[in-house]
Amino acid sequence: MYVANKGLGKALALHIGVIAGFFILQFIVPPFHAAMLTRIMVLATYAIGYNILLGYTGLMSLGHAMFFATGLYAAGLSVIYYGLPPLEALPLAILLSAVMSATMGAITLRTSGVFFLIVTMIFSQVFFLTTLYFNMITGGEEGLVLTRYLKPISLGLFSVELTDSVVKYNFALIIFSIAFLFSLWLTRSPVGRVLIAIRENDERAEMLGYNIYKYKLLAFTMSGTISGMAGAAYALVFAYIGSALASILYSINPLLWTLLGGAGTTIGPIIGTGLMIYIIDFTSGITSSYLIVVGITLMLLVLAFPPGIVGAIKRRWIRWLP
Amino acid sequence: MASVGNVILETRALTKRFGGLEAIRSVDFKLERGELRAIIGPNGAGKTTFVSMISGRIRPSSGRIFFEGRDITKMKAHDRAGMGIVYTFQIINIFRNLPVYENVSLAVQRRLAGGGAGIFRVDEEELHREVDAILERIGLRDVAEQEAGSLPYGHQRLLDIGLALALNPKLLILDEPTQGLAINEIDEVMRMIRELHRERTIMLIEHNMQVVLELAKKITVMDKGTIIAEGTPEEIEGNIEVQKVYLGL
Repeated sequence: MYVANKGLGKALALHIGVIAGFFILQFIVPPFHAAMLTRIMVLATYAIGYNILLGYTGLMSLGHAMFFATGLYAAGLSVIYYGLPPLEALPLAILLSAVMSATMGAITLRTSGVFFLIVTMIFSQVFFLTTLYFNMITGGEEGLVLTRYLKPISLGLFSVELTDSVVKYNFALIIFSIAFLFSLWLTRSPVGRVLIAIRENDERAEMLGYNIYKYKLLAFTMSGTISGMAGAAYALVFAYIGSALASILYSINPLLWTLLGGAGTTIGPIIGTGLMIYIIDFTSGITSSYLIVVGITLMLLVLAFPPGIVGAIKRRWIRWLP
Repeated sequence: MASVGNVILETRALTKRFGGLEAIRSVDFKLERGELRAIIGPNGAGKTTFVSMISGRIRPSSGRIFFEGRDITKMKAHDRAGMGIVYTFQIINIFRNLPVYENVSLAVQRRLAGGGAGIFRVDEEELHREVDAILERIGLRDVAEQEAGSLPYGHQRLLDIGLALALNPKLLILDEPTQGLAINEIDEVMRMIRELHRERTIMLIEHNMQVVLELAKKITVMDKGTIIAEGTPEEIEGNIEVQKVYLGL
């Protein structure tokens, strides 16, 4: 007999295990690596958001930097110019990212394939250039530092400072956990099943009576909103906003992280992000032409694991991985 | 058999042009509820184009389509599927990389949840029961966990029809369901079509005349984008026009 919910217990245990692992790591690893992990958790959140569109819906965007940056600027600018406390800036940024991605989705999803790729990229470039154009407000390429504007986060009896590295770590962990558990829920939900069906065969899904456009728009909005949440977390945790974070590099990054770790797996984006950030850190410490090394490493990894690292593990050994 | 007598589907002056080519020329067609209508004709007669307009996969250049008295000419394909017009593709079209169970589950889920916000919570138990019932009916319960693409060809075709069946269609359009099947597989598919016909109206595009003669009580013959004959199998067999088209006389 086939059991539809097979592997749910194991999957949930694995996901909670990953979160618990990150929680425990902060007591074990030296400060340098704790800072690296903080960065990885924030950027992995971005990759998780990206993966909803690429891995679970089968749509490749080259413009997600505009959503990451929407969250980044919404959080950063509202902290700097309106003195919003972090826990008010964050939901505002998430809301704006949702509006932004729903609007952009409604426009770009009228195209498909390579046109979708180009249209998302063009809109993102427009956003990037806009952040440069209004450099009086945004700080442009140089960016702005939030540190002296960040108010403490009040938690009832006591309050914590986002400038404290322990707080940074756990703030990033909470943001990451939300996105991570959401992606697990999504893949197992009725909606997620339809998204996978669209990825696998959109023509058939349509003839089964599913409104493909609506589902893609929903996926696009969820993906953009989580990317925006990651952007907001980036601004708050690293206390910095700048145009580089809206550039095309930041559209390509989540694509690479997701493909490396395994598109269409919930764990893949985290593995991919973590690996890439450590590879870059390691190689840049050895040589100034580290990007060549990174490129070669990436090529070798992709040759060895075409469906990504976790994708390959899922195919060969652990079929129940969500 | 469903009650025969009222028209379930009608097309008026339905036309499709691809550039300069008129693939379908002003076709008037009526189908009664409970019928099992075969549509035959030589390659390029426009059969698939015709049913694709009915299922909503392609838009007509002009003309109208009515389903249960309602003008559906402008309705989207997914909405038509939702209201009971279900199409199975000429080439087997399933979710090859997903388990057989997931394939059926996607179809059942669409029916249980409807097209709207119901999709966020589906009664998993009911879903499971219904998927199981469909799998039982198409005889694929034992291979529920297998990837659909790994099934033998005949089983893939049964699954394809099973997906259509899971939507509980009012009008089922089967586009060459026996194409490429072995003889014993054809029997299996025919048994299934007969069983489906007990509850619903079926349009069957088919090249295998044995299948057509055994299943259909009424046949529509198309050639060069128009209907050239319509009637019982006997009438069609005796029709000079049809003989010309088929035998090139």
